[in-house]
Amino acid sequence: MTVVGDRSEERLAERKPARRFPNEVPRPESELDELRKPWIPPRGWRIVSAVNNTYVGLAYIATGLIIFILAGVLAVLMRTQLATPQNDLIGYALYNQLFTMHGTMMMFLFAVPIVEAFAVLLMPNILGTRELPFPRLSAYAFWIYAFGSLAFFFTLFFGVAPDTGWFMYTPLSDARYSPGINADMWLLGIGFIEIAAIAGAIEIIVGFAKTRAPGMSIDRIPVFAWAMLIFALMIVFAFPALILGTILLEIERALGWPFFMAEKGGDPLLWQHLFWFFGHPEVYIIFIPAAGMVSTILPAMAATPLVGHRLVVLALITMGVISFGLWVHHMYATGLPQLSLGFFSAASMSVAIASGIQVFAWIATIASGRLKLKTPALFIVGFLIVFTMGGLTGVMVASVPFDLQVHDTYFVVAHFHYVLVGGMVLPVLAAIYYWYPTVSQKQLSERVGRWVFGLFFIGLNATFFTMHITGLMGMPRRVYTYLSVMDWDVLNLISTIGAYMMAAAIALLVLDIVRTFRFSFSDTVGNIWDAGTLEWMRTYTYGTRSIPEVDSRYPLWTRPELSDETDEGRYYLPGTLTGRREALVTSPIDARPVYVMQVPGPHWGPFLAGIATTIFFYLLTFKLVLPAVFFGVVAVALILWWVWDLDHGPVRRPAHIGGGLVLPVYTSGSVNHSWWGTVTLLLVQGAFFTCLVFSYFFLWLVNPHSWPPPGVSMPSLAWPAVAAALYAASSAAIFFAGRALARPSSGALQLLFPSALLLFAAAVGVQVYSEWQTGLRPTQHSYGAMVYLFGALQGFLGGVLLVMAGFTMARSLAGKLDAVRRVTFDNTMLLWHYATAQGLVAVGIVSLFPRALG
Amino acid sequence: MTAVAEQRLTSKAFLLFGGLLIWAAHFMLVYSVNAVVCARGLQDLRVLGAGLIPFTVAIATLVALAAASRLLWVGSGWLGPLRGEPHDDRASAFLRQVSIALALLSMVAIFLTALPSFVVVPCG
Repeated sequence: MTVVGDRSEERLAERKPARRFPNEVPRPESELDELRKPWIPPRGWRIVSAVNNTYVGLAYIATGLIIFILAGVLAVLMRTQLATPQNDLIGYALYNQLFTMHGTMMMFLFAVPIVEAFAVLLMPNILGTRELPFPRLSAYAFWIYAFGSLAFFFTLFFGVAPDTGWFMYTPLSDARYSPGINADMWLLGIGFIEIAAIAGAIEIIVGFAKTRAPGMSIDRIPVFAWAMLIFALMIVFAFPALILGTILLEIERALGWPFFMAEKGGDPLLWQHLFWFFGHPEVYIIFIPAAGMVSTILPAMAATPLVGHRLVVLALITMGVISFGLWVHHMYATGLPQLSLGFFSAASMSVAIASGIQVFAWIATIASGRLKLKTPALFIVGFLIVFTMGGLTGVMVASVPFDLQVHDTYFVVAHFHYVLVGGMVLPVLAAIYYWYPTVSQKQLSERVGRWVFGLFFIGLNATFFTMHITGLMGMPRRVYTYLSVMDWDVLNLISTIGAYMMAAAIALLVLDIVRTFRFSFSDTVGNIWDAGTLEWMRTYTYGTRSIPEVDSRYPLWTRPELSDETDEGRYYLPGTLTGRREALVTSPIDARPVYVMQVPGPHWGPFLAGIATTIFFYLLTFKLVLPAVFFGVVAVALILWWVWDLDHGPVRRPAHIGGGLVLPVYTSGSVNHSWWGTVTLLLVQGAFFTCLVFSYFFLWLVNPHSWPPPGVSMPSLAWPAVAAALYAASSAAIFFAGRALARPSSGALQLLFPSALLLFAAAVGVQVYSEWQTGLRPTQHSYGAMVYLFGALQGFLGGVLLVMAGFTMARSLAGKLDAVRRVTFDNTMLLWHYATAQGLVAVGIVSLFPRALG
Repeated sequence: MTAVAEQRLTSKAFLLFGGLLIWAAHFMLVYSVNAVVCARGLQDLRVLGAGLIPFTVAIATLVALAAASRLLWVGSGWLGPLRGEPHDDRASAFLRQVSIALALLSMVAIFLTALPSFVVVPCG
């Protein structure tokens, strides 16, 4: 490969002379075979037990594309219905299901999973690692997504698909107005996607922080990885609001606890707050990875480094945070105080600054290089045009008076399709064309690609630009037909023709994929774009032969021979130290090698647990509680089965990986990747609890002078004091259990864990019974519902602690836990202390706040 | 970079989000105060001759801007070279530059958030 185009001085300056390599060549003959052996993937039908990021990532992308096509077919059906006025092709009942399923599938089952899929597939190679830290978790996330989303689609054929819109507003979605199971299908049916998204987010965050190639310090991390980090962090903080919302609504529908029923102290607006606190960041959750793809593809297509790398990172971080301050701009028409709307309008303007920085950086990159107008570049140019137009109408609807005029009209439909299709689908199509050569022996046809782009781009604008006009003419969204006298006929027909053009484009793309795709790890088309990032190096089932050392943001540009040198085994860890799958863990800031991580291999657990989890959710939908519980227990057992052999301990002494570095093959504490994974999970739980506290204060606000409601007396303060003492004692027992690890034979661990469990259970019992004995019931008023929900959440955590304590004790009894090999204990301890802290806060709020301000 | 320096830097990297967290705290505070004041009918209360909401927002904004500018001021120092590391450490410089820029951007966002309080009727 040659260095082409107009390279910046910075990059030329970074070009290094001949270097000393960490390892000498030739390598020992047996080394490669030893490295290859543990990475051999399962063959034949056993392939479903594979956990390699490449297999899982590809299957993930394929499933995402299938969902995209299915949801697209629903859109084409809707457009066919609307092609002419008073069309009777599709009745209103089915139409309601179609638009609900189209929105739900595109947002939850296509947009989020497919960008996560790209991360699973590409992140290891872009970061220069053999594998991300939790491959079995990724595989599990994929399987629940695959089974769950396809089952969700098939509800359409049984007339039980959700039909109240993709944002499920109450009271329309509550048990009185949606008595069938259609709404439950949505609430429980997308439960699996919440699990899958969070599992993927943990993998990405820890992977970003811990498994980068040596030298890939924080200033050299590719923008794609930054974008995926922000995306994952946003999932961690945004999805809990949705999880809480769906739990509250399902509990209200199934058990009658009034969170949203106004006559019992609830408020339908609480649903909107929770939904949009997730829903608006969701737009950025979808857009930010796509922006990362653009920032990665564009330098290769323009043959020049991305202009303003720091500013683009800054813009990604800013959007990731400020987008959480935008949720009310979906609620301008709900009667909130004008000034509140003003705050959100201001935040909308602030986030536009960050978006603008990125757009200008991309334009400047195109201007400073020579853009090769190949298919990926065409899609990116299309993205810049369409997304900018969507952004401009976004600024229009962020203005309160304008929004009130176009609220619930097709103008809004046009705006968000410009943003979502322009901002996400076009970059994903660019990404498919751009990264296809990394996994296939043949590239997609350039000629067909131009047709795909042309049809899609013209079709997109024909479909959605016309909707701006029909919206301004007053056409409301979600109507299944309209009268001819409204003069919307021609515009709707154009819109429908556009939808068919987009469908034709996707059909062409699929045909081209079927024609050209020949999967391979190592014998691929290769770096046809002359790109500078690491995913274009020669890779195998085990990633690269040795782990390269990175000295710039575009290592293949500054050192074109890097791929060959890496392939000769000159860099770090060219073999295996433990005989197992391994990855090199580096420090979070300057990517200094810290230890060699033993990576888990193929296992049936993720696949089988995926099936059991999906069955669990769908049985719950049909109110088959006992069978559901059975499958829930099976799913947990299968997860424990695969987790059992994750912690191998220090199986050998620290060893040389090259360059004079001697690294351990095991660590514990805050250095360990598992510790980071657990902390990330606790952030999810913390965000969930924060949303619950917000809901509590919100319902207090809408219930002046009735918090608690008249006739309800609060328990004396002695009760919460006892509960708090029991929680604290439970954590103290775990603290002493940690000390007892040094003497595993003493039996103290077997005594302290059950004691801690009993103390925790007693604390939850006191917390709940203290309210029960006052006569308060959860079905009477939103106050009682919230109070018991705090208790129920602690009870759930108690159940999780029971499983983790049992698992930790079992490992202790099996001789797999001691003062050094203690990762299992550390994870249990972290969750335990968190559960105690959450219990103390919950008890404090429930017992003190109403006394102070009720 | 030594392991200790790396660890210190890792914890400081979280301060990358400092400016934006100040924005978030300011945003949640002014939104919550406005919601509570309007829901409880307290909008006509006056403090030092000013309306309760403009007064509260003004104080909160001054505090938030002061905190963000403090972040800006110490920004040049906190991520500077640590003991035992070279002065041209690029990772530190990157963190410092992005932190400072984020603090500046946050100050703009805080100012924009506060602005409507002085021109829009609070509970209209």
